[in-house]
Amino acid sequence: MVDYITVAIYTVMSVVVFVLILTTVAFLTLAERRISAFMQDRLGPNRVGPWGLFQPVADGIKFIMKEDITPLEANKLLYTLAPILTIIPAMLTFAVVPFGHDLFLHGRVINLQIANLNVGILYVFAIASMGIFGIIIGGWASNNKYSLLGGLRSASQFISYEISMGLAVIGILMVYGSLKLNDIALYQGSLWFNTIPKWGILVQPLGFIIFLVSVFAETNRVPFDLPEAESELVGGYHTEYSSMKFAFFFMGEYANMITASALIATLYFGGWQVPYLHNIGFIIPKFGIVHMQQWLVAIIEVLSFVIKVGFFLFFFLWVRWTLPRFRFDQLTALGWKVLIPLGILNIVITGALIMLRII
Amino acid sequence: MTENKKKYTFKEAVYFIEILRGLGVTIKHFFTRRKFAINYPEEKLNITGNTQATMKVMDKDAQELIDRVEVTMNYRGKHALLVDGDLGRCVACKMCETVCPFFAIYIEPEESPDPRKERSPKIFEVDLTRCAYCGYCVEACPENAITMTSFYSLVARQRPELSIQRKELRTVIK
Ligand code: SF4
Ligand code: SF4
Repeated sequence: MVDYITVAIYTVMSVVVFVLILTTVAFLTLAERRISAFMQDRLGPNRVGPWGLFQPVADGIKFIMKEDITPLEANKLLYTLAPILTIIPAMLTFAVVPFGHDLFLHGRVINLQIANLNVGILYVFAIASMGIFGIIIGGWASNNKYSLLGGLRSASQFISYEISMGLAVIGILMVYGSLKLNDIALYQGSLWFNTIPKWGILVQPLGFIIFLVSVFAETNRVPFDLPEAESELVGGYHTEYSSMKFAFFFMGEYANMITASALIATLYFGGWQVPYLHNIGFIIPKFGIVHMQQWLVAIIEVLSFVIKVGFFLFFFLWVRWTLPRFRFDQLTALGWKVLIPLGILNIVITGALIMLRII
Repeated sequence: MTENKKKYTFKEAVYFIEILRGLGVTIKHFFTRRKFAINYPEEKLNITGNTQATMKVMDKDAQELIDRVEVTMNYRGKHALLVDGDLGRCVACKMCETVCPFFAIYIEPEESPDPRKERSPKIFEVDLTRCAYCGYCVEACPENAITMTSFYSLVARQRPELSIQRKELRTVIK
């Protein structure tokens, strides 16, 4: 028996999340330019609307108006398919990210999450690795040596860092014992010695660093933006792209950043958790209980999630305007010789700590 | 391969600590921004400088010029033809026209209606699209008649609009 109301609620929720991601992507492009400007003692775009807030609209109009060029000997089908393949996985991955505690409404349990899959993290890995196809296909189909080099680089980079990312996540799985992201977030609310919340960053500090570095590589952000290294490869895999196809690549990159930030927040910073906040209100050990309405708790949780994600988005930009790009051999060396051994070490340490019942 | 390879200290070799330091630098700039950029059309650059000493040697009315017409010696913007009260200084000697490396000045002299000087320019035209703002004309002028102001906002929809005529150059001092 299909519960139509539940279906309707989830449909509305997914549409809202979709629109929110697209809006965030639009404003991220502005934020990137403004923040980079501030970090370099400049002003950034501030002409369109107050503080330049309508700049994304102007950019969007510009992208639509531009001529859509397909290179002469490009493979037309794949050339068109590539941007689509980039943006869709970036959007899909967000589906399993929880942004609040379960709600109980008239006997219904509503997850504040689009899909509470029991393979959660595996789904993230599966879909996220689809995103790379867009870049490789785009690089190959545009029949340009720079694009091809960009695509190849991104392929090898992705393979190198997917492993270390997986190894880092194994540590998390060992500690929390679940693949469901909602369970992982829920578990991070429990307390250590009745005081410290068991957030991933405290339980898995080494794993966090590995995951963070890998995520930067997976999203092709500086210092690992070799696939589009503009000073070496003209524009990298999207050299030949123009108009909305380029905009799709661009949006894909930012959507990936949002998903990555959400994942970091969920796995290592308690997701929607606020320390000591449970679904009946704040429970502070040795202090008492502050009762709160369910909707108030939900709002605080969603807000906490948004703030965490926002911080990591800022962090992505912050790092971009701080670090220079790695050389390609340094990149692969870091991936294979440093991060993977560290990942294995992290698993061993985690196992030992679990055996000793410390975490 | 690399013989004089730089020895890194432990802190540099780990790199992670250095990254944190770098992040600190950028976030410091993010919050304490020094203002270099200006919002151009609304705010304008205030072009001053140590012009006064130079000007004094050249023109006894230097201070007044600086105050009133924003004439500077070390910024070379739009030209100005100085007029002492009712008498224009220019005697249409064509020195500036001759010295101009880019043929930006065009002068047509006429007999001066004023008995205090013999010649005056009928047409004095500076084509600012040709001018390279080298300032040779200012140096060549025997009468200190042509100078350059700090006016730099040369915007026009068509090229002829930037060909400045005698009337627009005329700058009365005193
Ligand atoms: S500034 Fe130089 S280029 Fe311009 S009019 Fe004078 S001499 Fe010619
Ligand atoms: S501006 Fe000076 S140099 Fe030029 S014609 Fe007049 S007097 Fe001669």
